[in-house]
Amino acid sequence: MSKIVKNISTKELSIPNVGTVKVGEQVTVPDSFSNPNFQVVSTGKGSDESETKTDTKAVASDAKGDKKTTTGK
Amino acid sequence: MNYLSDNAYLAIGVETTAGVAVIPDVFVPLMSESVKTVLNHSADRRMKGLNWKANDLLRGNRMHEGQITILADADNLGHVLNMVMTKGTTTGDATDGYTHPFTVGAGDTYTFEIKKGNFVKRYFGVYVDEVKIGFQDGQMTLTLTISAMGQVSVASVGIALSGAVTSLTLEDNYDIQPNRGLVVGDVITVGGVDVTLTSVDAGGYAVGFTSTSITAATGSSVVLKPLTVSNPALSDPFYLGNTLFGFGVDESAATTASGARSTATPVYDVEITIKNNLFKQNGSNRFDPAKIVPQTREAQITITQLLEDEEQMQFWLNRTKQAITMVALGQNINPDFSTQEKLTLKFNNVKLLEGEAPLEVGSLIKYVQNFEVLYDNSDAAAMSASLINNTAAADY
Repeated sequence: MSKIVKNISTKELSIPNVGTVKVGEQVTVPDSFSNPNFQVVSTGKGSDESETKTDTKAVASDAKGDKKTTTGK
Repeated sequence: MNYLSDNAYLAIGVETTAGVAVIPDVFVPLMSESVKTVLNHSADRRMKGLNWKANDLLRGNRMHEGQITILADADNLGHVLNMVMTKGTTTGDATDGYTHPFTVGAGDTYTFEIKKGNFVKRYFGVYVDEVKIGFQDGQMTLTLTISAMGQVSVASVGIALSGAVTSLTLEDNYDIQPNRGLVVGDVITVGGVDVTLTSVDAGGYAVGFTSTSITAATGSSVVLKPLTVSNPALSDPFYLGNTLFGFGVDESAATTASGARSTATPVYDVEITIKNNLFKQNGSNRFDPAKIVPQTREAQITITQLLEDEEQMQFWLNRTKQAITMVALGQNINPDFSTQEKLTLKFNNVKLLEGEAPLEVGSLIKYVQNFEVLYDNSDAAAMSASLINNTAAADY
């Protein structure tokens, strides 16, 4: 079983045994994958969370990054 | 099954409320760690007609503490400073880097997760009691002595599960609120099945998840599952070879001296210790420390430089005020080489506690100086820090 996740962090991230994932990029990972910097886009079979199952490696907008600011705490 | 330390991770996350755990999202490469939970179990010595010391153990007051050593790159150093000092308003942008000022005061608490084989130990309400900034093989290292308000890692099933279930009640042998430290979104393994938590009951015992078929007897283990590691492109640590030390009669003069290699003073070893002297006494409310609070702050600096004249000896004998500014330069941020990672530590008023110049055959005389960092009345500050890195303000 695998699932598709999207990098919702503000940085390009490398995942051991998967590779480098740009901001907003989607990638297929094993079902056991669990990381708060990534949002599940779709799961292998009949997922309620399914939005797309085909756009892996397609760079999308960065939802988390959009709310980042350069000032304040 | 065996587990390799190198597969472990340290993940950290800023807490919005001290002691309320978050799922950490910043992975910090570890050098070593020795954080542990001190349970303080004691033998039950009540007299029961036995000729043996005890037949059980009783609970004790717990502490969660230990040391973590990491290399100080500009991004993880920002989080460490955010733990031990108060961060001001960040300026800058992704192109030229973000500048974060820090002053003496309360920092943020963090959740730390350390992977131990097939489970993680999550410490929440993590405070830094002491940070040592030093250099090993010319690389800047940070040794954090931390204390935490609690931990969650492995628990036990309190009420047996069978068939399709949507919640799990945890055993309270370890803690009076066994679900404390778990967070919605956590993945736990129970009865050999992974479930993602959708609720953590305020009553302290139950956690909820979507309907899942699980068979698990009372007492079966419940494991907080490790995250999958994700690393950004790591910066090099700061190097002693690209660090400048300025000495002066006051902060302004020291900072000016640290501004150029020609005016900076070469040093051969340095260790800076910043202490928060945490109050972490056990009391009522919990078996863990109910409160951890910084007390009086202090700092010391040990510097080794070549003995060149009698001046430092005079300063030591006379308790003369000096100021020290340390500027550590890192990798370029703007591709046009106009900006780079930069740590600036300013100590406004330092005086020599000790100054020694031991003699060794065939060696130049080195002067080992131990400074106490003092509050400066004129500057109304004892120390401050500034850091330029690639981490946006929202990540703190």
